[in-house]
Amino acid sequence: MKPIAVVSLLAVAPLWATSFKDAVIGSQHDLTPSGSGPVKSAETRVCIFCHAPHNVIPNVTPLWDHSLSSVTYTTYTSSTYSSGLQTPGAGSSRLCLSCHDGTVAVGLTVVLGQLATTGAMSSADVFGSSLLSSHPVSMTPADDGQLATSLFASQPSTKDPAVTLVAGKVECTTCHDPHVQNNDPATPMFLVRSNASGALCLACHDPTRAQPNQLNGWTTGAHATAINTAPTTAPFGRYGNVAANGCSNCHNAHNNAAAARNLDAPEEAACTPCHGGANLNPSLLNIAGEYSKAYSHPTMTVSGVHDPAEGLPVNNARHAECADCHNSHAAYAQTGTPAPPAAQAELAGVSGWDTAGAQPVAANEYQLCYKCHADSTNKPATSTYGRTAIRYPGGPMPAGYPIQPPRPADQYNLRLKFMSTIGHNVMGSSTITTGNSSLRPYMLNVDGTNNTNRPLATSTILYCTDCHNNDQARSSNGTGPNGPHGSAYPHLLQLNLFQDAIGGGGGGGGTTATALCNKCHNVATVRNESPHDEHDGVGCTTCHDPHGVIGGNAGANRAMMNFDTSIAAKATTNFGYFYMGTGSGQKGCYTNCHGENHNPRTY
Amino acid sequence: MKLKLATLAALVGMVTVPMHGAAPNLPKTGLAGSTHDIGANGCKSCHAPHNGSVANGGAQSTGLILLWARSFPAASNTFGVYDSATMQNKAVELGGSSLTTSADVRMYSLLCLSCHDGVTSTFSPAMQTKNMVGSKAAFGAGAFESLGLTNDHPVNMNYDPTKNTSLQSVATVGAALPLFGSSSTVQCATCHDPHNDVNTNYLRQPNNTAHCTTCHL
Repeated sequence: MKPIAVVSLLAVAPLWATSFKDAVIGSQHDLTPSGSGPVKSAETRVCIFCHAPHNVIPNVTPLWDHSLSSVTYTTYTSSTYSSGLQTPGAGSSRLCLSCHDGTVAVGLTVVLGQLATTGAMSSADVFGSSLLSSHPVSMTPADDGQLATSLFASQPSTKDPAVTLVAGKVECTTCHDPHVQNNDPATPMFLVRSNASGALCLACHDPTRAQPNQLNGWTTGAHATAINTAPTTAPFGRYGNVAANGCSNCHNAHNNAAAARNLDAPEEAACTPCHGGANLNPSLLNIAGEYSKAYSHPTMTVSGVHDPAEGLPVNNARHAECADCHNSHAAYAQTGTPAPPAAQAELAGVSGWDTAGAQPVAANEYQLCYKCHADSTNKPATSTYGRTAIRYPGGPMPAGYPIQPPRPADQYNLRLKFMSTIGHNVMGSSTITTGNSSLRPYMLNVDGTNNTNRPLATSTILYCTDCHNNDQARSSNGTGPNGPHGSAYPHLLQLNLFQDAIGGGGGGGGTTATALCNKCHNVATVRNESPHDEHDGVGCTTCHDPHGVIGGNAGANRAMMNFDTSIAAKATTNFGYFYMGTGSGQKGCYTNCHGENHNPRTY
Repeated sequence: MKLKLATLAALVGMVTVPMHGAAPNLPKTGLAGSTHDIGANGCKSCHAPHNGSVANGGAQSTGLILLWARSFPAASNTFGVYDSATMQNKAVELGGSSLTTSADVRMYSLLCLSCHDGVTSTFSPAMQTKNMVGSKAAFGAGAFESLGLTNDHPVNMNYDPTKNTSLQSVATVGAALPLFGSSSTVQCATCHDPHNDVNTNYLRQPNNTAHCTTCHL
């Protein structure tokens, strides 16, 4: 009889969510002998543990009769929380907390006194006085650009009629219906509706709002669409696959190890359960494992520094958490060929840094890198990531020779390097004056085959990750994940570029000194041309400044000539390269290198 | 059942308020010895065969309504209304005007309040304060009473499942409990039968979960 009535009532589509209160019978909130929870009583009247028909004191709706708690709660906070003061001790959430803060004996009613109970609530259901690790309650949402605009209407509401506000506030009952345990069979937590695919969360958290909304892109993002199966135990969601888990892949409304933003775990620990090569089926490439390579970004080694609200660029507290480069809501699976310099699919929706300052959403990949590798004031010039070249100062040069650029204030500011007309074409700033006979038709893959997704011409724009990448990036026919998480080679380069100072232990030489450049430039051909033929075994970067020459000019710095002064020294009085014409003798070097004084040496 | 309804009708003279469904009226045999058998006066505890409350020293001619032997709460008394942020199916203030006819559905609550407001009845025996649901106008001190009906289950409320989909249908409720008047109002007498205490608290049904779920789906 009852099920028929339920169906017929559902069919009339209520304008607001209304729970079927008899569903409490047999649930974990049924404290009578018929209940299924850990707390039991001999009392057989289900309703009276919480409600009394007459004379409830204090007069709290809905005829609330369980003794209230007097606890002062520590409420949720985070650097990105901008909604109002939380008052769980005053809002309707205090009704739930009269049991779930654990300070009032379950069954302690006002009208009937203590109804004797046995058993105890699961510790996961007892929050104590700290609500830090729970979603905020008794809170009036404020517009942070990521929440549904209907929350801020004159009659506030969520986007889902099943998810209701209480007097405009988010209370426990916004997400929970204390009378119905199994609206979401996978999450029998008295949810007001199923949270499969994050549907409950999405009633308020709105990906349809425009960027820089961090949630923008969620609907088509990898985490909302991937069908890889996942375990149904913590820290994974309960729905069996990534798409169905939705928000619960990474977030949990209660009992979070990482309280801020309700993440299951802090920083990379939220990502590694899936991105460590295990647990999912089909499994994902092991990004966590990349960090055990010889060179890696300091994702695993720096903790507690990253903050989504941090200012840019990153200065003193250098760090590189997953979220610095990836927006888990917006990242999606790449299809088609890359279109540099546009940020690739997995980098969608992340902040960046550029000449104009902080970019709420980086359009181009280099803007991500610039957050730390451009105008930051504390870039390390150490050997942690491989030897760092020192390029300046060049000059002086004899009168009439091309002028060497002065030492820039910051020779490691990659933004300024790539904005130079003399530089690799990352930002489209390069001035290409002649063809480049060394250029291959396609970039090479790590296995030496042509990467037909990446044809080369003098106008081709490069990604930072064309050079700085996993030595086994799958985008280059490798077996590992893309991106500069870790690499076997210094400076997180995809291929080796042996840079030790000559005589400094390695001696350079051979293919290891040129392997990276050989990805685009046919080194076998270049090597036979003057003056390269006389310098076989010297690393390319000894003479060429691989990012670009700040303030460089076509005469002094053609082909990005800018000596590494820790290898090449000043000649007798002059120091620098010059190019004054194509003819023999019109180009050459003033430098003292490998024991030989070029003063000048022309070709 | 028909016989008992006929008996009731004969006792009270007339019942003009329509009731939905065939809600049972418990036999009055549960009255004797109960707390409503005031001073072993039986029916006279509340009813007078002639002249209403005047016959009992009262000031009002209340006999037109169920031969009521007690004074009604003062016409100016208000009791307050239970309400909540989520409540759509609102109750209506019970007091504020005189009860003059048995066609007024408020009768099924106001008669109870002639004792249970705790102030009106002039010959009320000792009543536990928890049974005084109170009058907001008349009380200020007592913890229960001063709240009037604001802290009690709403009465004088149209029973309207279209405003709250977790309510059973009128027909379903009416088969078990009386809803009064053409708009199916909930009154004190919906849950309580003052003539029979077999279920404790004069409830029409056993005092258990099923009583609540008669209405609350």
